[in-house]
Amino acid sequence: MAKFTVEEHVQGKHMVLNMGPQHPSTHGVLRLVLELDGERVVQCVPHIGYLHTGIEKLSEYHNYTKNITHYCRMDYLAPINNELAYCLAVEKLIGLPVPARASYIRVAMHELTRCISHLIWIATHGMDIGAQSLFFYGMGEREKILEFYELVGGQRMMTSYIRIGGLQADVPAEFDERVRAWAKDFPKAVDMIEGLLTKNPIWTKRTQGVGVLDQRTTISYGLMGVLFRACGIDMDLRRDNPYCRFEEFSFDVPVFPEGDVYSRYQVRMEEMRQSCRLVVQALDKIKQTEPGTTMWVSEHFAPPKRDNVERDIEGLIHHFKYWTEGIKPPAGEAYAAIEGSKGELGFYVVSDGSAQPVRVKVRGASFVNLAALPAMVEGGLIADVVAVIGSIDIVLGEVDR
Amino acid sequence: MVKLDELQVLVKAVLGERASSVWVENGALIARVPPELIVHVLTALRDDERLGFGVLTYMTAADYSPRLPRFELVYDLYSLKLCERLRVKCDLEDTGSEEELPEVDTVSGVYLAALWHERECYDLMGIRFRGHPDLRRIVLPDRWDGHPLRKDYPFDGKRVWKLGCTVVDSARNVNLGL
Amino acid sequence: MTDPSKRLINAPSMDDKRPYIDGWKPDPHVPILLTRLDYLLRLAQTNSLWPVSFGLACCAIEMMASMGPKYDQSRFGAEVFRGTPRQADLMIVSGRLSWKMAPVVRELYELMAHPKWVLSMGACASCGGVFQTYSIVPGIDHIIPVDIYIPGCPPRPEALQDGLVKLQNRIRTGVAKNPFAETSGRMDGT
Repeated sequence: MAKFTVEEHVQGKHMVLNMGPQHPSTHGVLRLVLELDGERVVQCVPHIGYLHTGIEKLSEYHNYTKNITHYCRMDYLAPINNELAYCLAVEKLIGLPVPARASYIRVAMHELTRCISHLIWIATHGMDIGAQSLFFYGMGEREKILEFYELVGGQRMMTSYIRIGGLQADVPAEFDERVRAWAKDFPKAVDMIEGLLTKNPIWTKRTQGVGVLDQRTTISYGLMGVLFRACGIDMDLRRDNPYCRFEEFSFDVPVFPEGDVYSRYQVRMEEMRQSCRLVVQALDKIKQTEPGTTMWVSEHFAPPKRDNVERDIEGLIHHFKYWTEGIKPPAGEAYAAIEGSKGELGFYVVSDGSAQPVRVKVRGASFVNLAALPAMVEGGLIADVVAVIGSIDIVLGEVDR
Repeated sequence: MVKLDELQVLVKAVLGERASSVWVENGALIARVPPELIVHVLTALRDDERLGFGVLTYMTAADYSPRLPRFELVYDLYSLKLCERLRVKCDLEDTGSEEELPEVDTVSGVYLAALWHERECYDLMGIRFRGHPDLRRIVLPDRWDGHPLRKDYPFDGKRVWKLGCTVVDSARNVNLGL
Repeated sequence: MTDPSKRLINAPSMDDKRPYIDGWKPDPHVPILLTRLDYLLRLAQTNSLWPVSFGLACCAIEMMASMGPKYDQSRFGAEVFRGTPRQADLMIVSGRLSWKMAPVVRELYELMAHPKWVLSMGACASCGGVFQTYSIVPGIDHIIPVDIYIPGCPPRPEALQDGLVKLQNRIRTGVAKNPFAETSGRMDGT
């Protein structure tokens, strides 16, 4: 896909620049080798793999519940999303029903995760483009949501809160009131960030018309998610292929037609508002369900209640088998995808009836989105490379796995 | 949104004899095709007006040893028109020798998404894609030996410790000898 | 591993404002007349540790949160993340290090000018963490020398700052001398 001639290259007309794995703007360990004609990018070759952990290989050696902790650390900006997608896939494989309360709490955490992912996106994207103070706005708002992560899962980031069959534990009593108080103020925070950027001439000059990708190429690259919606394709997995009882919720899907960095920015800002709306709806629905039902009682696929463990021998054996050997789904395969904050995040799980999966394939949104980077960047200026990388919102943990 | 049974009938009609079987498993529609016909099948699925499977969500391979055929390629397609998924699978035999890798045609002419997914398959599973414009390792260092996702590769890599990395700096050739 | 009897049992604390700790011996490389100046130099180094922006994975996000408004790292003088290692004196390796990235880390460490310190943040950087796989280095101390290890997965921003403060104490009291300060930096001992 090179657009230069060999003579130009040989005569030294083009300069090869390495935007190395350590770079303040590459959002992680991404290496770009750029061939430049002055300031114009002639060719861009991304090199990835600097964070390759072999998570897919590791998953074949650990049981289904232990694998949840690995996937948290893949897309580390939106940890609960990974757990959710994986648990949905395994539940599909087993055919395990999930109680309504667990589904609604999952929706609330899913949308809160979308908010933190987008907040850190705007924090770093703005900082790269030059609006350095945005970093503090974004991170400050994010801290308020991380308090809920800590409330619910005990840890600020990698909570392993979502388990196969439901949740690890029920939400504490103050969850409802604190999240409602947050949801009242959050739209004002989004307004504040939008007020800084949307009509800002520097922002619009740097983002409008930059990194444009037409619809046909976008569909062929299979980008899904925000990049589709920013190109004018109306598609949202929450609405079209609902999971986690999303059919009971009402929300709007923002679609902007231009396909440049600015429209991706607009899509994500609007998504944050819609997420806030969804969180409040989820809280109302959680109130209507019975507290304590976060996982159905199941002899094979759920841990026993603590009373049973301490009272009779069957409970003790069940407890022992569940936590040492793990669950054993029936042989088969399943794929479940969620509308992650970066695109479609999916897990393809194959089981052969034993306690370890045979194959787990993670369909990471960032891996697919990054493949389209050369198409967006070639022909543009080198300063636009930074804007485009920020706009596709990659997280290298998901790219390299 | 279309019911899965109707979709199954439609897909069977479009694929005809090329698919050896089309079935529903765990809420997903799956079709099995022979690996030689994969490009034709995916082109037909993409270009059909009623189906319109325009998006390749992912492409992967699984190693099922000791079962034969050893590898299975999985292509997952999504139709924006029908909002439905279809999984297309092919069985791929392993070649007898360690140096020769099993080969299959690339589908990057049909879907651009396959470019990186096939590179990853080559890197981690050792399956060669005929006609791929840029088939080289993607997540592992270029000089890595072996294909880790295969079942005969240890997950802590101790057997191939000899490669690890050679740390070289420009003036002082330091070899950590790992 | 240093001999346990030679390690400091009572580590210096933040409140200890004395320039010299108990059992201090004069540094043979610093002439006796310049010891006060040496102390001032160490004080300056302590309070203006400039890290090189080197975040690998999840721990980097907690490092960014530690720079954020809630856990303000500029209280410790360490908020200026330099883009290039040439201008930095602290490397906070935050996240899992893969074998592909290892030569890059080594190169960056070599590019930093003396005196320099390394903070290994998180379980993956310290020992490989959750990921004992074929592609992850089981601890960055296989590649570069480390001064402080911070456990956690990921460590909270307060934990990172605790580690930073411990490093600052060690620098201020002269304990954390870079082990390669008098050598060429070559790991084969030449």
